[in-house]
Amino acid sequence: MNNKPDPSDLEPCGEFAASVRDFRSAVTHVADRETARPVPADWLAPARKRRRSEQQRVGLAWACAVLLSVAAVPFSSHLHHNVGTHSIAQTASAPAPESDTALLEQVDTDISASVPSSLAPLAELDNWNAEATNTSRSSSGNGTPLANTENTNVAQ
Amino acid sequence: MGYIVSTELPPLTQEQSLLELADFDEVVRLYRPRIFRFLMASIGDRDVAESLTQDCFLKAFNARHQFRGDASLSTWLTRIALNLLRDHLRSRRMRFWQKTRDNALDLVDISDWIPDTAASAETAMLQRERVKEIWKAVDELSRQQRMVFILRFIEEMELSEIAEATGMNTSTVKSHLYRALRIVRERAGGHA
Repeated sequence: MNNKPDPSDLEPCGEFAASVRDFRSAVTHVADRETARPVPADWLAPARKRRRSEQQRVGLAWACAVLLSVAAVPFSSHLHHNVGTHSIAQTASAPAPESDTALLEQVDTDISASVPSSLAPLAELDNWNAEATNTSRSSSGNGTPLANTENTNVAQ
Repeated sequence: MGYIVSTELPPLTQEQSLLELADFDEVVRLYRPRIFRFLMASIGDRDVAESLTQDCFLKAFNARHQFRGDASLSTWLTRIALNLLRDHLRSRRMRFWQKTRDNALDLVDISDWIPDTAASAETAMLQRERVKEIWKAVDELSRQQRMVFILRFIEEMELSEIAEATGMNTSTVKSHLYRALRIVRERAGGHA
Protein backbone atom coordinates (compact mmCIF):
# COMPACT_ATOMS: atom_id res chain seq x y z
CA MET A 1 0.00 0.00 0.00
CA ASN A 2 2.99 2.29 -0.17
CA ASN A 3 2.75 3.00 -3.87
CA LYS A 4 0.73 6.10 -4.59
CA PRO A 5 -1.12 5.66 -7.86
CA ASP A 6 -1.35 8.53 -10.25
CA PRO A 7 -4.93 9.90 -10.35
CA SER A 8 -4.96 9.33 -14.10
CA ASP A 9 -4.32 5.63 -13.45
CA LEU A 10 -7.58 5.43 -11.49
CA GLU A 11 -9.77 6.04 -14.50
CA PRO A 12 -10.04 3.77 -17.53
CA CYS A 13 -9.27 5.38 -20.84
CA GLY A 14 -9.84 4.77 -24.51
CA GLU A 15 -11.43 1.55 -25.60
CA PHE A 16 -11.14 0.10 -22.10
CA ALA A 17 -13.30 2.93 -20.76
CA ALA A 18 -15.93 2.08 -23.37
CA SER A 19 -15.84 -1.55 -22.26
CA VAL A 20 -16.33 -0.54 -18.63
CA ARG A 21 -19.26 1.66 -19.64
CA ASP A 22 -20.80 -1.23 -21.56
CA PHE A 23 -20.33 -3.43 -18.52
CA ARG A 24 -22.10 -0.90 -16.36
CA SER A 25 -24.93 -0.61 -18.87
CA ALA A 26 -25.38 -4.38 -18.91
CA VAL A 27 -25.45 -4.71 -15.12
CA THR A 28 -27.77 -1.72 -14.74
CA HIS A 29 -30.09 -3.09 -17.39
CA VAL A 30 -30.29 -6.45 -15.63
CA ALA A 31 -30.86 -4.84 -12.25
CA ASP A 32 -33.57 -2.53 -13.57
CA ARG A 33 -35.30 -5.44 -15.23
CA GLU A 34 -35.14 -7.59 -12.11
CA THR A 35 -36.46 -4.87 -9.84
CA ALA A 36 -39.06 -3.59 -12.28
CA ARG A 37 -41.77 -5.71 -10.72
CA PRO A 38 -43.78 -3.92 -8.03
CA VAL A 39 -42.61 -4.53 -4.51
CA PRO A 40 -45.21 -6.69 -2.73
CA ALA A 41 -46.49 -5.64 0.66
CA ASP A 42 -44.85 -8.57 2.38
CA TRP A 43 -41.55 -8.13 0.56
CA LEU A 44 -39.58 -8.12 3.82
CA ALA A 45 -41.38 -11.18 5.21
CA PRO A 46 -38.75 -13.68 3.99
CA ALA A 47 -36.02 -11.53 5.52
CA ARG A 48 -37.90 -11.47 8.84
CA LYS A 49 -38.31 -15.23 8.68
CA ARG A 50 -34.60 -15.70 7.98
CA ARG A 51 -33.77 -13.39 10.84
CA ARG A 52 -36.02 -15.29 13.24
CA SER A 53 -34.59 -18.66 12.23
CA GLU A 54 -31.07 -17.24 12.55
CA GLN A 55 -31.93 -16.00 16.05
CA GLN A 56 -33.39 -19.42 16.88
CA ARG A 57 -30.22 -21.11 15.62
CA VAL A 58 -28.07 -18.84 17.73
CA GLY A 59 -30.34 -19.44 20.73
CA LEU A 60 -30.19 -23.18 20.20
CA ALA A 61 -26.42 -23.07 19.93
CA TRP A 62 -26.22 -21.15 23.21
CA ALA A 63 -28.62 -23.56 24.90
CA CYS A 64 -26.52 -26.52 23.73
CA ALA A 65 -23.38 -24.83 24.98
CA VAL A 66 -24.95 -24.16 28.38
CA LEU A 67 -26.26 -27.75 28.62
CA LEU A 68 -22.87 -29.14 27.74
CA SER A 69 -21.24 -26.92 30.33
CA VAL A 70 -23.75 -27.99 32.99
CA ALA A 71 -23.22 -31.65 32.09
CA ALA A 72 -19.49 -31.22 32.14
CA VAL A 73 -19.37 -29.79 35.67
CA PRO A 74 -20.40 -33.01 37.57
CA PHE A 75 -18.25 -35.11 35.30
CA SER A 76 -15.31 -32.84 35.87
CA SER A 77 -15.82 -32.80 39.64
CA HIS A 78 -16.20 -36.61 39.65
CA LEU A 79 -13.00 -36.94 37.67
CA HIS A 80 -11.26 -34.51 40.00
CA HIS A 81 -12.53 -36.45 43.04
CA ASN A 82 -11.25 -39.74 41.61
CA VAL A 83 -7.87 -38.29 40.88
CA GLY A 84 -7.73 -36.90 44.43
CA THR A 85 -8.64 -40.24 46.04
CA HIS A 86 -6.14 -42.05 43.90
CA SER A 87 -3.37 -39.68 44.85
CA ILE A 88 -4.28 -39.95 48.55
CA ALA A 89 -4.22 -43.76 48.32
CA GLN A 90 -0.90 -43.63 46.59
CA THR A 91 0.47 -41.39 49.28
CA ALA A 92 -0.83 -43.69 52.03
CA SER A 93 0.55 -46.89 50.52
CA ALA A 94 3.93 -45.43 49.77
CA PRO A 95 6.59 -46.43 52.38
CA ALA A 96 7.73 -43.65 54.59
CA PRO A 97 11.21 -42.56 53.83
CA GLU A 98 13.59 -44.09 56.38
CA SER A 99 17.15 -43.21 56.97
CA ASP A 100 19.86 -45.87 56.67
CA THR A 101 20.98 -45.37 60.27
CA ALA A 102 17.50 -45.98 61.65
CA LEU A 103 17.14 -49.11 59.52
CA LEU A 104 20.47 -50.51 60.74
CA GLU A 105 19.53 -49.81 64.31
CA GLN A 106 16.25 -51.66 63.86
CA VAL A 107 18.11 -54.65 62.39
CA ASP A 108 20.58 -54.66 65.29
CA THR A 109 17.73 -54.55 67.78
CA ASP A 110 15.96 -57.46 66.10
CA ILE A 111 19.11 -59.60 66.05
CA SER A 112 20.07 -58.86 69.59
CA ALA A 113 16.62 -59.65 70.95
CA SER A 114 16.65 -62.38 73.56
CA VAL A 115 15.44 -65.79 72.51
CA PRO A 116 12.16 -66.80 74.14
CA SER A 117 12.48 -69.68 76.66
CA SER A 118 10.34 -72.01 74.58
CA LEU A 119 12.93 -71.79 71.78
CA ALA A 120 15.97 -72.24 74.04
CA PRO A 121 16.75 -75.88 72.93
CA LEU A 122 16.80 -74.73 69.29
CA ALA A 123 19.11 -71.92 70.21
CA GLU A 124 21.48 -74.42 71.88
CA LEU A 125 21.44 -76.57 68.76
CA ASP A 126 22.23 -73.50 66.75
CA ASN A 127 25.19 -72.75 68.99
CA TRP A 128 26.48 -76.32 68.57
CA ASN A 129 26.24 -75.99 64.80
CA ALA A 130 28.16 -72.76 64.93
CA GLU A 131 30.93 -74.34 66.99
CA ALA A 132 31.13 -77.33 64.65
CA THR A 133 31.45 -75.02 61.66
CA ASN A 134 34.29 -73.12 63.31
CA THR A 135 36.11 -76.34 64.12
CA SER A 136 35.77 -77.70 60.59
CA ARG A 137 36.95 -74.40 59.12
CA SER A 138 40.05 -74.44 61.27
CA SER A 139 40.88 -78.05 60.22
CA SER A 140 39.78 -77.81 56.55
CA GLY A 141 43.29 -76.86 55.37
CA ASN A 142 44.79 -80.28 56.47
CA GLY A 143 41.89 -82.70 55.94
CA THR A 144 41.24 -85.06 53.03
CA PRO A 145 38.64 -84.11 50.40
CA LEU A 146 36.21 -86.65 51.90
CA ALA A 147 36.60 -85.18 55.34
CA ASN A 148 36.09 -81.66 53.98
CA THR A 149 32.83 -82.66 52.28
CA GLU A 150 31.67 -84.26 55.50
CA ASN A 151 32.50 -81.17 57.47
CA THR A 152 30.63 -78.96 54.96
CA ASN A 153 27.55 -81.13 55.24
CA VAL A 154 27.67 -80.98 59.00
CA ALA A 155 28.03 -77.23 58.87
CA GLN A 156 25.00 -76.91 56.61
CA MET B 1 -44.42 0.11 -2.52
CA GLY B 2 -45.18 -0.71 -6.09
CA TYR B 3 -43.47 1.66 -8.46
CA ILE B 4 -40.84 1.12 -11.07
CA VAL B 5 -37.70 3.05 -10.24
CA SER B 6 -34.44 3.31 -12.09
CA THR B 7 -31.13 2.65 -10.35
CA GLU B 8 -30.00 6.16 -11.27
CA LEU B 9 -30.65 8.57 -8.39
CA PRO B 10 -29.89 12.24 -7.82
CA PRO B 11 -27.79 12.98 -4.69
CA LEU B 12 -29.69 13.95 -1.56
CA THR B 13 -28.85 16.39 1.21
CA GLN B 14 -28.64 15.28 4.84
CA GLU B 15 -32.01 16.77 5.71
CA GLN B 16 -33.60 15.14 2.71
CA SER B 17 -32.12 11.79 3.75
CA LEU B 18 -33.51 12.09 7.26
CA LEU B 19 -36.91 13.10 5.99
CA GLU B 20 -36.82 10.34 3.45
CA LEU B 21 -36.02 7.73 6.06
CA ALA B 22 -39.27 8.58 7.85
CA ASP B 23 -41.15 7.07 4.92
CA PHE B 24 -39.51 3.70 4.68
CA ASP B 25 -41.64 2.49 1.81
CA GLU B 26 -40.25 5.34 -0.20
CA VAL B 27 -36.72 4.40 0.81
CA VAL B 28 -37.28 0.87 -0.44
CA ARG B 29 -38.82 2.14 -3.64
CA LEU B 30 -35.94 4.48 -4.37
CA TYR B 31 -32.93 2.48 -3.24
CA ARG B 32 -33.89 -1.15 -3.79
CA PRO B 33 -32.79 -1.23 -7.46
CA ARG B 34 -29.45 0.32 -6.63
CA ILE B 35 -28.68 -1.99 -3.71
CA PHE B 36 -29.82 -4.97 -5.76
CA ARG B 37 -27.56 -3.91 -8.64
CA PHE B 38 -24.54 -3.60 -6.36
CA LEU B 39 -25.19 -7.00 -4.76
CA MET B 40 -25.91 -8.72 -8.05
CA ALA B 41 -22.75 -7.31 -9.60
CA SER B 42 -20.77 -8.44 -6.55
CA ILE B 43 -22.17 -11.96 -6.33
CA GLY B 44 -23.52 -12.67 -9.79
CA ASP B 45 -26.49 -14.52 -8.33
CA ARG B 46 -29.97 -13.06 -8.71
CA ASP B 47 -31.62 -15.02 -5.87
CA VAL B 48 -28.88 -14.34 -3.34
CA ALA B 49 -28.79 -10.69 -4.38
CA GLU B 50 -32.56 -10.43 -3.83
CA SER B 51 -32.34 -12.11 -0.41
CA LEU B 52 -29.47 -9.88 0.66
CA THR B 53 -31.35 -6.82 -0.58
CA GLN B 54 -34.31 -7.78 1.60
CA ASP B 55 -31.97 -8.38 4.56
CA CYS B 56 -30.35 -5.01 3.93
CA PHE B 57 -33.63 -3.11 4.08
CA LEU B 58 -34.87 -5.05 7.09
CA LYS B 59 -31.65 -4.22 8.90
CA ALA B 60 -31.92 -0.60 7.83
CA PHE B 61 -35.53 -0.49 9.03
CA ASN B 62 -34.61 -1.93 12.43
CA ALA B 63 -31.67 0.48 12.77
CA ARG B 64 -33.32 3.51 11.20
CA HIS B 65 -33.26 5.42 14.51
CA GLN B 66 -29.47 5.10 14.59
CA PHE B 67 -29.06 6.92 11.30
CA ARG B 68 -27.87 10.43 12.08
CA GLY B 69 -27.37 11.69 8.57
CA ASP B 70 -23.58 11.95 8.86
CA ALA B 71 -23.28 10.00 5.63
CA SER B 72 -25.78 9.97 2.80
CA LEU B 73 -28.59 7.48 2.96
CA SER B 74 -27.17 5.75 -0.07
CA THR B 75 -23.75 5.35 1.59
CA TRP B 76 -25.38 4.08 4.80
CA LEU B 77 -27.40 1.48 2.91
CA THR B 78 -24.33 0.50 0.91
CA ARG B 79 -22.41 0.00 4.13
CA ILE B 80 -25.14 -2.32 5.44
CA ALA B 81 -25.14 -4.20 2.14
CA LEU B 82 -21.36 -4.53 2.29
CA ASN B 83 -21.53 -6.05 5.77
CA LEU B 84 -24.19 -8.50 4.66
CA LEU B 85 -22.16 -9.36 1.58
CA ARG B 86 -19.08 -10.02 3.69
CA ASP B 87 -21.05 -12.27 6.06
CA HIS B 88 -22.57 -14.10 3.13
CA LEU B 89 -19.22 -14.71 1.44
CA ARG B 90 -17.76 -15.91 4.73
CA SER B 91 -20.59 -18.36 5.33
CA ARG B 92 -20.45 -19.51 1.71
CA ARG B 93 -16.77 -20.29 2.16
CA MET B 94 -17.70 -22.36 5.19
CA ARG B 95 -20.44 -24.19 3.31
CA PHE B 96 -18.18 -25.08 0.42
CA TRP B 97 -20.20 -28.16 -0.45
CA GLN B 98 -23.27 -26.09 -1.14
CA LYS B 99 -23.80 -25.16 -4.76
CA THR B 100 -24.49 -21.51 -4.24
CA ARG B 101 -23.90 -20.54 -7.82
CA ASP B 102 -26.57 -22.75 -9.34
CA ASN B 103 -28.77 -19.78 -10.11
CA ALA B 104 -25.90 -17.46 -10.94
CA LEU B 105 -26.39 -15.28 -13.93
CA ASP B 106 -24.53 -16.65 -16.87
CA LEU B 107 -22.01 -14.27 -18.35
CA VAL B 108 -23.55 -14.77 -21.79
CA ASP B 109 -26.96 -13.88 -20.42
CA ILE B 110 -25.83 -10.58 -19.01
CA SER B 111 -23.99 -9.65 -22.15
CA ASP B 112 -27.15 -10.38 -24.14
CA TRP B 113 -28.96 -7.61 -22.29
CA ILE B 114 -26.95 -4.69 -23.49
CA PRO B 115 -29.50 -1.98 -24.12
CA ASP B 116 -28.04 -0.76 -27.36
CA THR B 117 -30.49 -1.43 -30.11
CA ALA B 118 -29.05 1.16 -32.48
CA ALA B 119 -25.72 -0.64 -32.86
CA SER B 120 -25.02 -2.87 -35.82
CA ALA B 121 -24.90 -6.60 -35.34
CA GLU B 122 -21.12 -6.58 -35.50
CA THR B 123 -20.81 -3.76 -32.95
CA ALA B 124 -23.33 -5.43 -30.63
CA MET B 125 -21.40 -8.69 -30.82
CA LEU B 126 -18.17 -6.85 -30.05
CA GLN B 127 -19.83 -5.12 -27.08
CA ARG B 128 -21.09 -8.44 -25.76
CA GLU B 129 -17.61 -9.90 -26.02
CA ARG B 130 -16.15 -6.96 -24.12
CA VAL B 131 -18.75 -7.19 -21.38
CA LYS B 132 -18.14 -10.92 -21.04
CA GLU B 133 -14.41 -10.36 -20.69
CA ILE B 134 -14.79 -7.49 -18.25
CA TRP B 135 -17.15 -9.41 -16.01
CA LYS B 136 -14.95 -12.48 -16.07
CA ALA B 137 -11.98 -10.33 -15.12
CA VAL B 138 -13.95 -8.58 -12.36
CA ASP B 139 -15.11 -11.94 -11.03
CA GLU B 140 -11.51 -13.03 -10.67
CA LEU B 141 -10.48 -9.98 -8.63
CA SER B 142 -9.88 -10.24 -4.92
CA ARG B 143 -12.91 -9.45 -2.75
CA GLN B 144 -11.76 -5.94 -1.86
CA GLN B 145 -10.59 -5.08 -5.36
CA ARG B 146 -13.91 -6.24 -6.81
CA MET B 147 -15.85 -4.30 -4.19
CA VAL B 148 -13.97 -1.08 -4.90
CA PHE B 149 -14.19 -1.57 -8.67
CA ILE B 150 -17.95 -2.11 -8.56
CA LEU B 151 -18.57 0.80 -6.22
CA ARG B 152 -16.51 3.09 -8.44
CA PHE B 153 -17.55 2.04 -11.92
CA ILE B 154 -21.02 0.53 -11.44
CA GLU B 155 -22.30 2.65 -8.58
CA GLU B 156 -20.19 5.62 -9.69
CA MET B 157 -19.36 6.56 -6.11
CA GLU B 158 -16.63 9.05 -5.31
CA LEU B 159 -13.44 7.72 -3.68
CA SER B 160 -14.32 9.45 -0.40
CA GLU B 161 -17.76 7.83 -0.42
CA ILE B 162 -16.21 4.42 -1.09
CA ALA B 163 -13.82 4.99 1.79
CA GLU B 164 -16.75 5.92 4.03
CA ALA B 165 -18.84 2.93 3.00
CA THR B 166 -16.06 0.37 3.23
CA GLY B 167 -14.30 1.77 6.30
CA MET B 168 -10.99 1.96 4.45
CA ASN B 169 -8.94 5.10 4.15
CA THR B 170 -8.86 6.86 0.81
CA SER B 171 -5.30 5.85 -0.07
CA THR B 172 -6.18 2.17 0.46
CA VAL B 173 -9.20 2.60 -1.78
CA LYS B 174 -6.95 4.16 -4.42
CA SER B 175 -4.48 1.29 -4.19
CA HIS B 176 -7.23 -1.33 -4.57
CA LEU B 177 -8.76 0.58 -7.45
CA TYR B 178 -5.43 1.00 -9.20
CA ARG B 179 -4.65 -2.71 -8.94
CA ALA B 180 -8.17 -3.73 -9.91
CA LEU B 181 -8.07 -1.54 -13.00
CA ARG B 182 -4.67 -2.84 -14.02
CA ILE B 183 -5.76 -6.47 -13.60
CA VAL B 184 -9.05 -6.00 -15.42
CA ARG B 185 -7.31 -4.15 -18.24
CA GLU B 186 -4.75 -6.93 -18.57
CA ARG B 187 -7.25 -9.76 -18.37
CA ALA B 188 -9.88 -8.16 -20.54
CA GLY B 189 -7.49 -8.92 -23.32
CA GLY B 190 -6.41 -6.26 -25.73
CA HIS B 191 -9.25 -3.82 -25.24
CA ALA B 192 -7.18 -1.35 -23.27
